[in-house]
Amino acid sequence: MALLEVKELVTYFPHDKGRVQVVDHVSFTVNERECFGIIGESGCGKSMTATSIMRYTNEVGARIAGGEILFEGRDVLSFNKKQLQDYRGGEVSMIMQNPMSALDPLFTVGDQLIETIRRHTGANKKEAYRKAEEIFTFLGIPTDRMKAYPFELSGGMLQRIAGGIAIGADPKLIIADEPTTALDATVQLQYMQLLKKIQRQTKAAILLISHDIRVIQMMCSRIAVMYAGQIVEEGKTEDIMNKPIHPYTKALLSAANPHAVKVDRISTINGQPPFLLNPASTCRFTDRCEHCTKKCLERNTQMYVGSSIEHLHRCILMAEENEKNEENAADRADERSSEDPGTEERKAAV
Amino acid sequence: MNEAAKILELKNVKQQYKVGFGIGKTKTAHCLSDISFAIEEGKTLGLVGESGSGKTTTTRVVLGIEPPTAGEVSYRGKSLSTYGKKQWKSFREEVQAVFQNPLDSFDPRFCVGQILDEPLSINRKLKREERKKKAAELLEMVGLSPEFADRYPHEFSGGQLQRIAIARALALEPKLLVLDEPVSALDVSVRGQILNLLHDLQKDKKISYLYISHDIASVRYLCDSIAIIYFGQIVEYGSTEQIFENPLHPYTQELLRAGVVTKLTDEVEGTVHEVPSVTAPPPGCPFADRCRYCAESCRVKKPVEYTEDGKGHFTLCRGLDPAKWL
Repeated sequence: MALLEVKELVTYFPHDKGRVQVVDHVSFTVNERECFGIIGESGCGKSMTATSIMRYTNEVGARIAGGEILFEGRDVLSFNKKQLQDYRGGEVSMIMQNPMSALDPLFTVGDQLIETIRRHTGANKKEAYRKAEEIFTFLGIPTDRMKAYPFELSGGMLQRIAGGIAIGADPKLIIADEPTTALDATVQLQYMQLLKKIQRQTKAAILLISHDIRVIQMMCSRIAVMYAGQIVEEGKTEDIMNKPIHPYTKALLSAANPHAVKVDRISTINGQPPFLLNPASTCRFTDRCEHCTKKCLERNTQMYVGSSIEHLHRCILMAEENEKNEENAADRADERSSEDPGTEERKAAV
Repeated sequence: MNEAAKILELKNVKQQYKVGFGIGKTKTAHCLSDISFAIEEGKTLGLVGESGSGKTTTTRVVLGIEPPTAGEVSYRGKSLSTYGKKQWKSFREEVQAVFQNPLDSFDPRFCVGQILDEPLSINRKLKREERKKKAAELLEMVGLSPEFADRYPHEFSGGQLQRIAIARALALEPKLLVLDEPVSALDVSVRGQILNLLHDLQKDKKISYLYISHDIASVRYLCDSIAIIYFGQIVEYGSTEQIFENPLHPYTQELLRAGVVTKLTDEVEGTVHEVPSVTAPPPGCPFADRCRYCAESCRVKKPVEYTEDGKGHFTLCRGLDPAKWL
């Protein structure tokens, strides 16, 4: 069942000459107990999507211009202050990229965890303390570290604690915005294992945002690929990884080299993503795409159905090719049945 | 290794800092406990390790920003400790650095033209026009348009800034480039561009690189030999093939595994073992708590001697040599 539904979300930053549209008609759903991933390079709008879901847009100077965000069927955009306070941290919690700046340097990490628990579950001091101890044990951190201040702990440990705070109030959805980017490779792996464990234990859904294809691939069952404020491809992880359709997804996958195999030359995506000031509704990857044709520059894009109903993409060329193939296949099927009238008779005989 | 081919060599370098204030409260932080390696002319040495392992301290020692507590750093066979003022000046011309965060390594009030002009105006007797021409050449060399010279650092993306940082480092035609995590702040697509650029520049200009990173894939692409650093010690050293085909030290194995895993396994994980404290190093092997092969003897005595396989592949693990096991 759908836990979070984002429909045609538009978020922009006001600019002298118009709008910098960082999130442009983005739609996706996160189901209960699912891990959904958003991947894209920096500046593609993946973090702003998360910010919009948490309704922190005003705090960072952005505006939501349209669309809907439904959490368990309730309209998040119409929440009042009180509802928002319960929603943030209670029902949806967030793990930020940099744990050092996400935690308050003036309070011990234990206090910060207890604060979240008490605010959202109404537990008294003792109960909250006991729950915090449980969470620390769950995270694999000795409970005497609860009295430590953030500067006394390593980045990996702090990020674990940030994860602990995120599950403190038993939320239904955890938004993890680049949770492993600031961590080392070995610690990264441990953290992914912890996130998996959190998901199993708390039965929360996770919205994982990252630019690292490896992280997304390990965690998520479904992925959305974002580019220049739009989702350009969406589908099951194995479909995206094995049968990518959009040229951007293909380029991203070939540039990543997740297995660290030996290569003579690293494949890259040349050029830069476009600046999103009053963006056109034609394809935004044209400058960097090797397949780009005149059609791409003229026609507006939309989401097309790819190999299966769940696999969507935004490439005009691929959609046309797909259509042609389907027509051909249909033609061939017609031909076969007309050429060989014996088949049906034989079938009837069987 | 051929003596003449060595451009830079570190011999038993130690680096310690005093931390804390007050009588009886000062402690010594052992950041580098014993570092020895050499870089061959025109080749790339990769220094790989996690944060806190001493990578950046090593670069500071190599660049001569701080002298080591003990040991010797020599550039072209001459120890840095014997350098006079003139020699330092030429050393700083020939050895240049590119740092992790490009936005932090520029003066925000300098435009790109000034950034590239500064090293030239200090070190070269060139006229203003010549310097300007040279700056434009440098920008072209790293794949940027010369028109960018009038713009300021905040107007560029991370990938472009890193190109400018490389252009600045190349301005004085250095012999050795110290690259401290040059691509870890960049996106996948841009990372490839910078790595390809570095690769081509080395071929063109025969520059030696000291490449520091924790990203396994980029190390494999760029480096000729690799030194794995853990807790201020080189725990394994060998050619790129040797390290990747046959990693010997358990830490290297863990590092490589973590770098290439694409599926999560349900491994039993207990308490997470952190890197030991630098102010109170353990008596035994610093990796013992995290090591899957750890024996009792590992916790008692620190491994100090390297074992070599005869082909230049060194490792510092006692467990792998049965003779030293007991």
